[in-house]
Amino acid sequence: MANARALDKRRKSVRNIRKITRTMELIATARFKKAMDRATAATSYTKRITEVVASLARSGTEVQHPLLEDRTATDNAALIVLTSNRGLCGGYNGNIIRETMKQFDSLSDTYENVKLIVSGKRGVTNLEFRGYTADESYTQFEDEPLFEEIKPIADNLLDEFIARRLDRLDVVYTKFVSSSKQVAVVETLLPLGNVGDSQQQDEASGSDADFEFFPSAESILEEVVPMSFRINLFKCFLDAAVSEQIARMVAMKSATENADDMIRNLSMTYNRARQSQITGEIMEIIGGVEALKS
Amino acid sequence: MSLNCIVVTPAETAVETEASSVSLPLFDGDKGVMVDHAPMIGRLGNGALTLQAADGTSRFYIEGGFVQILDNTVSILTNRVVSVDQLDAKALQQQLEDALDMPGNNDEELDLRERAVDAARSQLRVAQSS
Repeated sequence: MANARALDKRRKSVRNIRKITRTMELIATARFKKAMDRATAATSYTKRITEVVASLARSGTEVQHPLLEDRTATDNAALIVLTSNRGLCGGYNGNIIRETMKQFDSLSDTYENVKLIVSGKRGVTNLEFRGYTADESYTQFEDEPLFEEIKPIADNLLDEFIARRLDRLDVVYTKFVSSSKQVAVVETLLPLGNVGDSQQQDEASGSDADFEFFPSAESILEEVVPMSFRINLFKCFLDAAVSEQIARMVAMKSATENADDMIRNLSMTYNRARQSQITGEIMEIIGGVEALKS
Repeated sequence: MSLNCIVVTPAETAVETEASSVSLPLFDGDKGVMVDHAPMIGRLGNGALTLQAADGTSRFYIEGGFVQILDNTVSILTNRVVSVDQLDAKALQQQLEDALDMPGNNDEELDLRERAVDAARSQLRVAQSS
């Protein structure tokens, strides 16, 4: 039978770990709620900007913009990878890294230079270990990415794209589908092909008022298109933040449950060990008494 | 009848209120909007947004973006919105001086400086006129 004291020690350490995982679960839950609120608040901007684009399209404006056209050049591509700074969030980073490697290799087949931009410490170190070195990395994004922080990054990429130093931009991030489903996805943000798609959908549902444009539809389009890219990128960061908290919440919940199971099993073995130890001692005493009698 | 005025920034819906009239800064000057305005979409500049409601007037500083007016709803999409009483003239004066001190060695830097100066000046103007 195992040593009762060693079992007790082990049980204590499992209890301590359980305390930690339980706390982390609670923290992740609170952060998830906050991140979720921020993500829903941001959707109203996206919704309205799509409305504006839809109205522009209905007004008969030729939707033409350097960001919208398909590039035939295959010189430079960039891949943004959104991972977390901290671990202990289950398969969250693993899934992203798997997608990243797949996408990076397939981009490398068609494009001459593929630039790897990684956000999050976990992604940077993990990808480096697998032989993918990040050209640029960010570690300042936690669970509350701010639009002001994303904007310079987005503007930088826009400038590169317009100057034709960049032909395609993909983002790998964890998309938030619902609170019980998040998937690692690859999305192409530049060229911004999907502005056209969304406006066609809206065309059927939106009202057909005749808008006046100040100063002109073209000039508004020039401003709207880059903005919708910035907001798309921002949304990726927000989604990633929400998904990270959910992943951590789920991972910590199962860790806590597992610790509970372990404590139960250990307690049972400990009690048995203790009892057999006592029985053993009693037997010895009785044995001693019997020996003295004779 | 009143106007439904919504101000959204990329991060949040900052203001959502009823107003009898709205004055907003278009790219080339202020524009007043009253009930039953024709549908329009316009580019915004930096400046003061004034909302006149039954219970008083509220003023905000907004920085660029767009406005869409449709069916008595004024949707303002802007990069930044600050309530006027949160603007601090002294700090803005400093911000303007800092902006004027920015380097301007090439086109991009000049452009950045111009934008920073313009933002600071417009905020200062809004803060002082209140």
